Amino acid sequence: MGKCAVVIPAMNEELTIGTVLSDIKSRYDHDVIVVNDGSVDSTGEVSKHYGAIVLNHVVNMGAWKAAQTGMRYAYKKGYDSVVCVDADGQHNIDDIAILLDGLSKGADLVVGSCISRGSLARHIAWRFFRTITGSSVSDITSGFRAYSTNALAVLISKQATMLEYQDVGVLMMMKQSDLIMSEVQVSMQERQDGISRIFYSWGAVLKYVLYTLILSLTKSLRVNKKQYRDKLIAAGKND
Amino acid sequence: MTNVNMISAFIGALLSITIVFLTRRDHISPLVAVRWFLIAVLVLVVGFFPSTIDVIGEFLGIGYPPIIPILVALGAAMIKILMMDIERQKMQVKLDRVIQRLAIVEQSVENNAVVKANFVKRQSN
Repeated sequence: MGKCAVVIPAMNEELTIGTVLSDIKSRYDHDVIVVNDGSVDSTGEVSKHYGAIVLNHVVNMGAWKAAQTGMRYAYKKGYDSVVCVDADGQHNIDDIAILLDGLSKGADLVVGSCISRGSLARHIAWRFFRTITGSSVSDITSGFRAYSTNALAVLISKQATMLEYQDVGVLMMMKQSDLIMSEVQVSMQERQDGISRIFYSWGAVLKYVLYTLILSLTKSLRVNKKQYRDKLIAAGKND
Repeated sequence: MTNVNMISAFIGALLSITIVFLTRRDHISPLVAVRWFLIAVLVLVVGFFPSTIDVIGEFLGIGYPPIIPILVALGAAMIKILMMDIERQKMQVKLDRVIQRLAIVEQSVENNAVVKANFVKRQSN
């Protein structure tokens, strides 16, 4: 296993980011990239204090685009793999090793899955979207993921910048690029403030469901996988 | 010439003058102005020669020819709005990628790598 970077998209997480960073630093030698996604608090300063590489977005662009910034940086700097971790302390840092182990077994994407969490409605939505997309991953909304270099080459593309969320769109892009996905069981904590960044209101839930529905239906048509993958890789290299 | 034709001709003329003004003041590019001039000419033709619509209506078998310009305008507007959405999406992706790149470049600059390297090079020259 080569050089690995841990990417943490963060917006206004000054209360939790320090603990997450010190946990990572105490267990691993990996470089940590914090993408400060338009925070108005001291998330960036706290991250720098804990020795992270901090990339500042001048405006808030959402968790997925923040993660992609970290991936673009990691790819440019020659990292062999990237693990995405939430800044709110939801993810168990010890499980990073399990995700990386999955990559070393040949997978391009390893999803840290915790299907015991979430409400009944979320479980119904997961099952529905899994069925229409034909996804092999059960926890489609988990942001705890490890990506190989092959996956990074695809996910830094312009087409991936068009995605709003990191779940179904990313999984479909991986599937259609003929990349190998696997899933490992991990444990997750409840968010300390209890409010999801994506599902913060009923309007946001409706927007997510409609967006994901249209994405799933339009993107589930068959494509020439090799051609599609080459197109994405070329698009990522061009800018 | 009826009142309707007068109004139509007036709109065409006003549109043409506005396009000239906007192009002169660099509010729209000459390329965009070409499209709008064509529309202004079309409105002027319909305004001054309303019988052309009747001829087209008869040719297409449309019982109420005055509906033709309305349908064409609606169709063109729909296509234009769709094209604007496509263009807006492209611009949004460009903007997002520039913001991402700015974050990466800013980190490199802060890390002294870029600024220091150039400074040393200048001094040695």
